[in-house]
Amino acid sequence: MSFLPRSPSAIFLSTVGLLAVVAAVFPQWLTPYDPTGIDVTALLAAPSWRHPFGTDELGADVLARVIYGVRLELAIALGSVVLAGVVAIPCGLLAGYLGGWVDWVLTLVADSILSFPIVLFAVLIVASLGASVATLIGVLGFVFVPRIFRLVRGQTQVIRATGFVRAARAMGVRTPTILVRHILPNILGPLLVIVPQLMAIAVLIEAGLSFVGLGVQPPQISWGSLLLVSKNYYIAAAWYPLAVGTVTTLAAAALVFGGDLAAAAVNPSRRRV
Amino acid sequence: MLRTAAPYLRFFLILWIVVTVVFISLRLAPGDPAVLLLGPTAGRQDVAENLADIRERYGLDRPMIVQYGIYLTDIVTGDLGNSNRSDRPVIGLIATAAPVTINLILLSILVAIPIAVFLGMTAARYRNSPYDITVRGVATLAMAIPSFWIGLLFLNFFAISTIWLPASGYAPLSEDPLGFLRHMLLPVTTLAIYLVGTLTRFVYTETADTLEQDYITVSRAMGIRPRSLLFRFAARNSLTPMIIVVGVEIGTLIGGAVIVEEVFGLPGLGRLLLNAVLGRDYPLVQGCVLAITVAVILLNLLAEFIYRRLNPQAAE
Repeated sequence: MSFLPRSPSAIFLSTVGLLAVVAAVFPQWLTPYDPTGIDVTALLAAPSWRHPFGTDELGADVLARVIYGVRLELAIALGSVVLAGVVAIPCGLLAGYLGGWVDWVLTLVADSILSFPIVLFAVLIVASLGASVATLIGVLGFVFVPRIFRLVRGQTQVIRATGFVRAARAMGVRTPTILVRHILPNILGPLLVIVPQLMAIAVLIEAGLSFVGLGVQPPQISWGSLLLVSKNYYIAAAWYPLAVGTVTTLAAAALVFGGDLAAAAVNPSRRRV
Repeated sequence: MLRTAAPYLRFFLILWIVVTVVFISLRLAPGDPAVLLLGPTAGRQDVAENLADIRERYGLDRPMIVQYGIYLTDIVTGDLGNSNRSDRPVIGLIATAAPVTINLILLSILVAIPIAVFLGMTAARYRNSPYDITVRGVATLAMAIPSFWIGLLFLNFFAISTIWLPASGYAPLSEDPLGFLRHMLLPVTTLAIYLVGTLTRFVYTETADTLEQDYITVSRAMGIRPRSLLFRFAARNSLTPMIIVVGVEIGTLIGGAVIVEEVFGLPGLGRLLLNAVLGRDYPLVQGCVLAITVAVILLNLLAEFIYRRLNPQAAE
């Protein structure tokens, strides 16, 4: 069972990750409440044993809404990273391995996409396609491509120069086989580092865009749309925005921290924050 | 040989691709681009001839390549079109709003750098002490806080619950310096929190690496005081790369500024852009995105140039 996490922080983060997956797939296991349930007897009720995060303007349990929000949150964060990986990993492998003009052109395109500030690019695409979860995943996937591409390309260059790859080449192993069988397995570690980092960015961008009305639209439940809905209650029911914002912050911080841990595990000689 | 013609050619190619991506994004939209460009009034009968005007102006009923030609010519001559709301030139609207955003970002950088340098370097100096672990934990949290949320918390605490600071609006620095500071205090703090987080983490990593190098060990053996060792000897090596990082973060900061301006009601580029997208003022959205992205590219080029100047070894 060597794949099980051992250090306390790794165990903690794995538990949080597992909880997030459960919340996304079986939210009803974690809360008895219906996230859209209306209860006129408890509008904006303060936190209590029954409602640890209080209730919202329609009397729905805020904790339940936060838990049910995980599903979209995870769909956006994972969906965009997977989408980006599907494009970026083959391109990065080719650019790093072949070099020459293929590398030059692909890197140029990647750097161009990278120079768009993410939020601005998202606003531009939302202006032409309209705000929706699909647009959000597409936009984030698109801007993540160059970030994964650069990593894969750099790692491929390093591994291409190692003895075992040169030996394989000398033995006449075909390029696709070298890329998939010899190089790809060796860059999975660094890829594991960037995935939580990008997911953290996705969570924060989702929150920001939904907050200004350009991301997930209420009544769909995501943390961003909850932050949007709760913005009128900072004074009357401060726990409501406080709870949602704190959860968002902690989730993003956990992802960043997860990336740090992965980085330390992949490359023990180089400390990271 | 392409590599030797390098930086300038590359720079113009990147600009060209960025401009082309913006061109394509309008054509991605389902339906008639002319309707998108004309905005909310497009459906009205009395302005039907406006649609025809727009088609004529941007060549929308002609082949894509002609449209692209017209688009590129406009951009090269600095014509970003007119806002479909106010019919004023987009470039003028951008010029009016830009100073607010520039001030906001510049002040945030000026506030964040000294704090991040101090925290990052001292944490690296006392590595694995409780102080270090606290600093790094707080830095990671600072990166992860949604800026608009902490902004709204500040706003409700400092500006509405207590009446210390104005809740929204702006006063130009040249006319009302005190009002400028009062209006800027909360937005700048909000934006600086993220930057302090990122930069502290960066300074920490760099300094921790530098402190393990031989020249530091030698200087320590020679009896240089720890304080000058850290802030003079190590700082020179670990802080120059920060120029590049600040350059890269400008893109993120602009994104943050868009949302922070909305929260605090600052009449900057972010507010202009958001009002444009919510009011379906497509030409203004497109113009803002183009102008800001080009500015970001130029700033990154500048950061790289300064870095090369300070650190000739880094030239590839």
